Amino acid sequence: METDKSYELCRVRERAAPGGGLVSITVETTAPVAAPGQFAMLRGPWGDAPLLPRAISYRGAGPGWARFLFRTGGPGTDRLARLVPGDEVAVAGPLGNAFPPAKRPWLVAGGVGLPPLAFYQRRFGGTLFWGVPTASAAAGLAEKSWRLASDDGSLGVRGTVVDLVAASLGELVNDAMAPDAIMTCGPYPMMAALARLSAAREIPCFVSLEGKMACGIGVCCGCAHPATAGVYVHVCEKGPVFPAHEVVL
Amino acid sequence: MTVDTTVTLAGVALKNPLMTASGTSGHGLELAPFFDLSILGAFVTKGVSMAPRAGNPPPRLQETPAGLLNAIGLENPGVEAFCAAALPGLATLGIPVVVNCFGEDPERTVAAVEALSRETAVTALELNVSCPNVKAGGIAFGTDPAVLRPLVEACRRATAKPLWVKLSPNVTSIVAMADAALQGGADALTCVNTLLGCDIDVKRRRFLPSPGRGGLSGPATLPVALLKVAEVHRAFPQAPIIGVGGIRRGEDALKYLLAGATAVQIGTAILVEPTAPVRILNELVELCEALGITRPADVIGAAHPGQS
Ligand SMILES: Cc1cc2nc3c(=O)[nH]c(=O)nc-3n(C[C@H](O)[C@H](O)[C@H](O)COP(=O)(O)O)c2cc1C
Ligand code: FES
Repeated sequence: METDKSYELCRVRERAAPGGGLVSITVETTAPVAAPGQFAMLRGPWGDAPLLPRAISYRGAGPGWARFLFRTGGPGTDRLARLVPGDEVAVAGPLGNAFPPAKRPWLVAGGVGLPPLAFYQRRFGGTLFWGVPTASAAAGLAEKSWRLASDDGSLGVRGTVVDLVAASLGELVNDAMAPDAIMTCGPYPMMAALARLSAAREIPCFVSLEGKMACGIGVCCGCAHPATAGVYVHVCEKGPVFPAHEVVL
Repeated sequence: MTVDTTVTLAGVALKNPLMTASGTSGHGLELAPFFDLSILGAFVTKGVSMAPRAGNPPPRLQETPAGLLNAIGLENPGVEAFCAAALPGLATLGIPVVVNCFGEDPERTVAAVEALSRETAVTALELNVSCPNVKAGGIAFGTDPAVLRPLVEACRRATAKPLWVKLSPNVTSIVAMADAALQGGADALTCVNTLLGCDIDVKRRRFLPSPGRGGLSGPATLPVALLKVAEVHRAFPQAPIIGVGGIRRGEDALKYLLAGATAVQIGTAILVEPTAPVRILNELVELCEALGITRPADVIGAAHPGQS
């Protein structure tokens, strides 16, 4: 599933700010088509500060284009959010590995962990669960088929997305309907809870990590994350997707 | 006008003065998907030690205004694994391969130098003396001339390859350290390693990166590193110097040459833009053309009075 990586200046084709601090930009690219779970390092022409490019997951990709969805609120993402169609943005990608194939995957997203899983569902199918704090944080992006949970009950069921997944597993009438993999991206406590839930039911679980990165291309050793086997894994090189049991959450 | 970019650095011929900086370009061919590494004057590897090292816990990185604090903790696979896995690929590049190395005490430093010297694919060694010396309470070798000189002497005896010593800027007098390294037998001096610094997470009231401090690199550090190069060149005009710190444009590279460096290394700029060396080389050539410099090697140290 992994593809060749490239570095190029890309033209921004579309920009949307649906609300909730979320911004989506679509760029023209000649890079290989990204797979769901992969990410790119993005940086605009804004001088020496903020210095580092930002690691952003692909929300979608096809021949000649790629789409990114991210939440603003930091110096880098705020700058990226100001890009408008016609602007240039430097993109190194597609980077990292992808979520693995599965027959009946459950895709569980927490908050801004949505993009890689929404991308996965669009390309391969699967059941998508999305948890948000409130309806406003979802910014109208939720699709009809998705199963939704919000802390205040303003969107979908009230409660956490982990509770929703646990309840859904409990309601399954037969094993043939059970997921053969759970893939998740979101806050670490949420992913840890899902990993425990999956382990109890012997369902393979894959988590997408979001470490601090400088290069994103495996040259700086900056993105180390503790591994259950003892030492560290480099999120940008070996990940960002890992079998849940291999990493400390 | 054609620009002759070749330089000779302590007996090593380079087709141009640009190299990668240690720790920012991987151990082997990690950058190869992005540009043709053989355009470089030389490739400098991430630091290696005799035994593998796991490195520091996260967070290892902290962005600062126009800079980057890192506390990687010298993570590396060890000399043996490096020579087996990364070195053969580097050897195919057809450019000088410089291996950055270090040890936790003098014995292990010498052992690493010895082991790497047996490899024909290694052109030169760059000794990182900013590493803490566990036998001396964790004080870096490169902060005490009385420690540095015997260390370099011992490494000098252990290798017939060109030996570069990478100096730390975190000292009162870099000239005293340069003197110790040269007396110890260094062939060239890399000036300089990262500047110690820290940041603070105000919400959690914690120092960053994880060990409570890190090495500052990037554009913010250029004026400091440039002055260190100038000071060392002024004190030792014959000593070959490799300038490093904050280079992100051709003009920055030329400044280092004018300050007295024979060659330069590009670090953080590669993390920001993996193809940076290609652009910087083009910019350097264009700038030399614009300024009527036919051979950058001719302007080394030319900013110093009486040298232009
Ligand atoms: C992530 C990172 C890792 C580094 N690792 C090493 C290393 O292993 N050995 C070494 O001598 N210098 C190391 N350095 C220092 C660089 O080689 C260079 O001296 C410094 O970054 C200044 O150059 P720059 O501003 O162009 O990055 C490292 C720097 C960074 C940013
Ligand atoms: S971010 Fe540099 S190695 Fe992963």
